[in-house]
Amino acid sequence: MQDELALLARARALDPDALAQVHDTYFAPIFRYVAFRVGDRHTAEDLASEVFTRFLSALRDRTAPQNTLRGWLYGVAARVVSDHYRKHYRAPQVELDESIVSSESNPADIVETMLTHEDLKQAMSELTDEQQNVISLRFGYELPIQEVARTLGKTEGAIKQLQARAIATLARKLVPSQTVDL
Amino acid sequence: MDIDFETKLIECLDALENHEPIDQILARYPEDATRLRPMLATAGALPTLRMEPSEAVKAKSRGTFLSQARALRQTPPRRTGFVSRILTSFVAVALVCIVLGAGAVAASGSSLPGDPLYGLKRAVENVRLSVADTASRGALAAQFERTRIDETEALVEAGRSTKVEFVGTIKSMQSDTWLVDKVTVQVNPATRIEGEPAIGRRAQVEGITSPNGLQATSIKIETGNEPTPESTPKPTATTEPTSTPRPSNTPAPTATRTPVPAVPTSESTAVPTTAPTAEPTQVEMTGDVQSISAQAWIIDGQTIEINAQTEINGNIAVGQRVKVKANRTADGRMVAAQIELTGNSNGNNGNQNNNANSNNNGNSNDNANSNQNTNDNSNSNDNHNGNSNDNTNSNQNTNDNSNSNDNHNGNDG
Repeated sequence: MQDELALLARARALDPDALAQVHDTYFAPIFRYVAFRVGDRHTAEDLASEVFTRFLSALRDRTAPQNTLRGWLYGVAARVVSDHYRKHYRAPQVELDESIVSSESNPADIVETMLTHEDLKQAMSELTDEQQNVISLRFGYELPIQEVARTLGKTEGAIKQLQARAIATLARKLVPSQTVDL
Repeated sequence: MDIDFETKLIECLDALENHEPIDQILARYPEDATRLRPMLATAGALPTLRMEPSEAVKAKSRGTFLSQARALRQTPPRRTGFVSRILTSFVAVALVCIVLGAGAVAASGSSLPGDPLYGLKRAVENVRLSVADTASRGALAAQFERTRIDETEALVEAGRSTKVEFVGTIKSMQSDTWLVDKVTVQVNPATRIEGEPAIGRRAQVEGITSPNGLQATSIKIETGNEPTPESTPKPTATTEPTSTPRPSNTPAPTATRTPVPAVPTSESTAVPTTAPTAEPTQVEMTGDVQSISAQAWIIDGQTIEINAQTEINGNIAVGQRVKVKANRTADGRMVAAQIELTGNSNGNNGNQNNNANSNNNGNSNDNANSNQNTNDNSNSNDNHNGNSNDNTNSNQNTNDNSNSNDNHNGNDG
């Protein structure tokens, strides 16, 4: 935390080493988070870069975060993603059923071996915005429950519940219907 | 999904996060294992579905980011220059008017230094000054000057401690307490005093208000603030230089000399009368006439002697308020030089009063003197004028020609 504060102070002074360090530390987590939300590698690359460009604008306009760089960058990433969705209307997915693998295999194996990013993208689209955020932060940004709760301003219990419901929905979509009996 | 099942799922996900194998977890919930298994499998698979950025993409983004940062470093931070500061204050006032409405501006009017709206009040003043035309700007500035004094007084009365500054006339000066306009100003050794302070001079005072008055940090005396309206005749004296070339021309001197003898005649009568009263000190007082006799008047309990030289202007009766100019003799008697009613009583007296006023002024009253001469030839006022006005009498004469008409008209009206 102390390190992050010092790093942030140097970044505000546009210190090149500090900025390089910010990018090196946060590019991958931001990319993973965005990738979870948009489900497309190419789009995720562009959007992750956009997050850092906005960070520079914030430094120039002196609206950059005062303490938690990590939480602030997540907030920017969330806005970048929702701006992206506003700009690009997503065509409804029609081939959902065909993309689901056959029912004979062991569900666990299916999930572990056969699922593609495209499957995930389609399943994720079934989640509420809040659920998508929790899953993306947990598994993309790799924040522990406690940090997700702090970032989204909710209790840990609420995050666990959101996560449980999200995973139940994803399982229903990703694993053949007859094996998932809710 | 019922609450009971949801609770179990949450417990399972917690266990999964603690790296417990799925089978081991499901063994604890045999009745729900079939339902829970795909969910735990999904949760376990999610990290593997995570996309990782390629090193190339990461490097490209890094390069763009750092070059944008470099460009940003080279762009100087937005400057606020002089013009833009002025514009900003205009815009700020306009915005505040729009956002808060005129009410806030009106409310700011009664605010004092240190109040939240005080900055707005001063900004509004500045805008008013800058949009005022030249004719009204002076009056407006004077009004705001009064406001500063009133504000300081209000802060002192409220016992508040705030930094203020104002401009006012020095009314009194004790060693460490001055009165500037109506504000009590505490002066201490640390107070920086610029210029030569004197009663009647204007001073720019800076300091901190306190219940005992203003603790001055700096007092700056304004220069050149002796009121000298009499200096206006001096331009007429420039007629003299135009006449001086004439003496250099041979025929001229006789022409310029002629008026001069006219003055010495009045001067000759002046010398004897003023000579005796030259040693005593002259005092001035205002009071009610309590008794009148040929030798002495009693004014506000004070006996004032009257002699042949005493000039009594107007028909003064007991009970009237008069202004007395008297000479205090060496043995403490008061001998009146002039007694006049305070305030103008009527037209006739008015003329005489005007004359009388100019007597005391002596040196600088060239203009006034010339009035007298034209108004009444035989006036005894001449005596006083003669006393000190030797040098300027010549001016008087030259002025007469041009001035007499104006003055005469004025008096008649």
